[in-house]
Amino acid sequence: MSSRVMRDFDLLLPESIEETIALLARHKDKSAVLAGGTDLLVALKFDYSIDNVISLALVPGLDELDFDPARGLTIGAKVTIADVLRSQDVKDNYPALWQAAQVFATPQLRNTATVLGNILRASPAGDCSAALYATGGSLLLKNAKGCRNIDLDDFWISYGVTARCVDELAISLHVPVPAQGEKSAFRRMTRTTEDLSKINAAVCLQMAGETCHKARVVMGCVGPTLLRLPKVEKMLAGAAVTPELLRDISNVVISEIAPIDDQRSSAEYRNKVAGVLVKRVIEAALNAKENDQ
Amino acid sequence: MKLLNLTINGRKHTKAVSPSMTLLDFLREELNLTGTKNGCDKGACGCCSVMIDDKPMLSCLLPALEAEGAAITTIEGIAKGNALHPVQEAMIEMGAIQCGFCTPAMVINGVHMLAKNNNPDDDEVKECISATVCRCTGYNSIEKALHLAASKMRRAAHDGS
Amino acid sequence: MAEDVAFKHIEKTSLIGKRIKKPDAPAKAIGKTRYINDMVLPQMLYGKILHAGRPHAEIISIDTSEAEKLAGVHLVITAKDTPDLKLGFVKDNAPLKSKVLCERDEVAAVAAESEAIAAAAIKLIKVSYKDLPGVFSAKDGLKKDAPQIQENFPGNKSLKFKFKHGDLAEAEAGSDIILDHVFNVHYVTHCCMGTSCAIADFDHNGKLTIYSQTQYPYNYKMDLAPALGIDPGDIRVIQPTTGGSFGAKLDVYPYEPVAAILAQKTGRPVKVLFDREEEFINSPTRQPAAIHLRTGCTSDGILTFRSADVLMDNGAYTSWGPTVPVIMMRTVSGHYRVPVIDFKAQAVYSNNAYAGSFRGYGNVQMTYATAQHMDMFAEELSEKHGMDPIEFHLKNAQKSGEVTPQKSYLRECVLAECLTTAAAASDYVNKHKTYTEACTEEGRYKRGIGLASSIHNAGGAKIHKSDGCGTILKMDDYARVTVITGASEIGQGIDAVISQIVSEELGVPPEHVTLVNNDSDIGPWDVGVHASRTTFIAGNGAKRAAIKAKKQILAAASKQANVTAEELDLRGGYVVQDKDGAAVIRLDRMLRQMHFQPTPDVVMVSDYYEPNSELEGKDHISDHSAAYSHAVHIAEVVVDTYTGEVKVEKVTMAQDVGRVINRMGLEAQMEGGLAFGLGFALSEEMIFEEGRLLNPSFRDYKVPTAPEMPEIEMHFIESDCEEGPYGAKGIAELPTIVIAPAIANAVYNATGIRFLNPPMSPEKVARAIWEKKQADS
Repeated sequence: MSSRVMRDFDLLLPESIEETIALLARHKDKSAVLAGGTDLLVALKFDYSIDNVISLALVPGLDELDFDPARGLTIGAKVTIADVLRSQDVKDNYPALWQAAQVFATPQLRNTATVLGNILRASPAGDCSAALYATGGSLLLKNAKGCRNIDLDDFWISYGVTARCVDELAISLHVPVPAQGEKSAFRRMTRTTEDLSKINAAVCLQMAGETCHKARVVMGCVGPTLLRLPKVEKMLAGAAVTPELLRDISNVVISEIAPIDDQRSSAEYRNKVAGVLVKRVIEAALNAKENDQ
Repeated sequence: MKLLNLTINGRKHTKAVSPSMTLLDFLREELNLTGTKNGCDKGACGCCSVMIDDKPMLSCLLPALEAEGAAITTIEGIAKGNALHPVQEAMIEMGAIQCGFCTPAMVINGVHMLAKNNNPDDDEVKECISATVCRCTGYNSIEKALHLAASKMRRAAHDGS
Repeated sequence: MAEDVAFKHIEKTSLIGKRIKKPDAPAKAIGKTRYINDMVLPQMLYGKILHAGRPHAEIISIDTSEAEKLAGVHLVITAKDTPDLKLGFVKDNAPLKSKVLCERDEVAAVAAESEAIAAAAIKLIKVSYKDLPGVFSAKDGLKKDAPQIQENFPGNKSLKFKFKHGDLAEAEAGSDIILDHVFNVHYVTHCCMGTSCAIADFDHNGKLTIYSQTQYPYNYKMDLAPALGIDPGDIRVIQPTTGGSFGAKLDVYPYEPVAAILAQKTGRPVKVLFDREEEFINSPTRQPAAIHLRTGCTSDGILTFRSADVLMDNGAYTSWGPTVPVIMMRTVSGHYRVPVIDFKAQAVYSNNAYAGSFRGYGNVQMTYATAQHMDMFAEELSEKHGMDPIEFHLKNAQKSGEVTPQKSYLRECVLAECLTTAAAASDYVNKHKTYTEACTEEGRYKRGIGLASSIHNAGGAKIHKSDGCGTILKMDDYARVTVITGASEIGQGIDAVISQIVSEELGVPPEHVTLVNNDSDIGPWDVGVHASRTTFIAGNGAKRAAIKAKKQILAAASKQANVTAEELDLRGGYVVQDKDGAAVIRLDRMLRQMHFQPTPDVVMVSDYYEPNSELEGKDHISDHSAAYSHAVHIAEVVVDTYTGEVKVEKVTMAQDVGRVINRMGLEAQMEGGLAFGLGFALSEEMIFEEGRLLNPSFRDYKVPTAPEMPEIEMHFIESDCEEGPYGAKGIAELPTIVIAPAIANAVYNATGIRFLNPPMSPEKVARAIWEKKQADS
């Protein structure tokens, strides 16, 4: 059958959030949660083993993808990348997220992989994660003791490690209402079209005319987690976005990142193109009509 | 082992399966539906594409039990009796099949795209097959086949209305 | 006259050059085809191999006891169970190893009731290794103090090749320009979509039936036998449908005898099937090489000499990889008219992966070098002497009837026509000039256009004593034809071509021709699918057999119709009058009449076609192919000078195909061959670190996907090959060979930078652009 044989595990199929949380409380680090499973299954085929896989397949109340102009965007744990891509609200209000979804993995994987799964994977290459880091958002985590919200800014600790406790279930992600004049974009570079990013970037800018009030600038594949670029953000804040500023920004980026050599690219290359990519993503955000990648 | 109920190509199945069995292995090993291929077992070649509730997905990355209650279409369920789907006919006609190992996945993804949009542009066609690796063709013949199938389907839709 | 032929006239039509569907395509389109990967035999066990996963080590001990105890395990074997069994044409390989020489080395194998049990058992085998210092490059292997890899090959020296023609010193002295570069061609691999698989089954008389993906079933028996200690006559090879091959299965690799040994010892059929990671690590690669190429030219643009010194990393064992100089030197001596040649090649053992044959076989590597030198000359001559680049190529292009220094006889040579056709169709000269001028201007995106050509054998390559193919053809009472041919079908489409040719000769529809070609107990001998030979050789064989059958039928019909056989023809399922197509008798009726008479006359004919070529000798002076052919590719690229990304937008190709047989299959081979070359040029690369493959997956080994493919414009030049069937030549390798240097030349046109070491990854291209910018400023 030429398949990698997975070490046996038990597949638990709870039928409510409460039941899921109870299972997490019981099995803690002896369990893994399966929503889309596109990362988990690959791991299980290659030397990762776990006793219990808790599937969310039968759990209701986790597929909400809702935009409210007063409250913002809510993305449930089972919302797939394809769901996001189908949402006109996301396309209109959160271009960075929509653009990331558009190029995320492959068409088939987009039908399975979830947005929250991408966040929980804590990969520095996560495309939707990078976009959401730029727009900002908070995760709703729940365990037997109750709920807590955690800001994405505090969520990723290091490669593959997050602030989620082993007994917590990620219920949903909340993304705030876009600010007045908010513009965002996502761009990335890959080896072939359908690929993991070798480097990616997302920005969210609050613009008033030519002037940027506030900026969040995120880069991926240039450190153990996704990184925000505080110097670049500072340079943008309160400034008119001119070609000169973009050139200066593109020269500063290198001082804020620490990429490595791996199978997808080299540290040298990432350092060299990071500035170009940041410039490109800012231009894309400002020139919304050219948002086709 | 847990009991799995699902519909495959219109036929209901109930079978006890192990939690660690993927949908791909369930189709190939338990049901003898060997048309769906295992090309990499890692979600990186597209060969194991099947339609789950009308969406193309990779069966190698899904525990079979996750497909509880789903309606699945595999390559074996695309033709209606002896009548091939226009995508299958066009693949044959355009010389888009050589070793044929990726063909089931190309057909599944093509059929899905054309069911939603029977007038795709070049980019949409490329996107549709972009995640399935073929080593024999250079993809152009497959793209031509999907365009041909689309025009056949448009004509059929026009004639039917 | 029988009623069904009255007033029936059938005009003479031809199928040659038409589009013929692959007969096996419908079954493949509906998922019904049974691939070897899908096969399960009654009583079958699953075999799994423990690979060393380290490049160089002594095996201190192997403890298989835990694995043997596991329920469902039938047998565990190690090298101790297989003494004296050797593999490979220099017998430097073995089914199971007692010492580790490379990462893939097969250390132990298990036969079990399920794949899961076999996999679990493999994990229970405890091996204690003592790691040894390794050799990880050809250069290091030649060092005085280098570890010795293979006992019988001192100094790590493997195969060596040499060819000299003319006076090099004199030619150098007479050259106005001498180019001197080292090209480093990297590791790539086939990535057949169906992973490697063998199912072995012994009968009670000790005869082995092996279900195999091999593309050379007859010599395969000869190569497999010593690895099992049995007589080649006791092997039957069955070739179920396979998921691609491209040269990967032109040798016996250890998993095949391992499956057979497990089957022999357990008395059960045993299947070994690789998963994708095993496939990457344990399959042959393309032969990497460092090619030191020197080429001379006069200021008039006449080539004076070519010298190539090739150093090859042999890897730990010798498969077809290090024999590629046989073809490399044909390129050095035959790619354009070069009067003086000096070719040397040396393969050096190392602890790296080992190479096999791969579509384009040595010529992909060598043309990457020679075609860039041609471009460099064209650039320099154009700049200094105002010579038109196409003019330079044409000056050196051979003409029909010329003979190369190695005695390749170019009977029908249309290189000039390929050059002018492709150049005109792509507007090469104008675009090249425009892009050259734009190259030094400011700007992010640079366009480039590049031309490359090559020569390849197109009528087989006689590297064995016979390059022939047997055909048996029979017709039944219903005018259905069965063709039993030695030629294998591995997806390339010989099934369509043979049914088309037989149909052409016998006047029956192609659908009425059944091909039998997957059982060595049934089929006659053939040397295998390689060297772009199958349409040429097996096509000729099928044609000759069909003509014999036709003669037999027409002879019988002539007696009945009271005309000479020459006045009759077979068309549309009838015997007809040749002059006006008037039907004489329905073909099936004719066949029944021939059959059911006091002295039955049944149509069962055979043929063995041996091409008109000479055996490749030790001196490498022979007309080793029955035909040679050329192709020209012109690639148009856009380079993002900020990121080093190269996008190939369009490729215009002109190739001498002799004569188009099956247009559909021809286009399919062109397009597919080009995709291989494109991957080689831009994105595919096996990354090794001390003998270990770091990227054994499609996630990290990037083959081209649909969006990477350029628009392709094909021009088929028909040179009408005298020896080929209907004038056809072999075609399938040139598209892989020519595209990479065409892209490299286009990237040069865009950036002014030469890339001697593929792949032209964004990382490499960007670095070169930055370095050039620094140097320029």
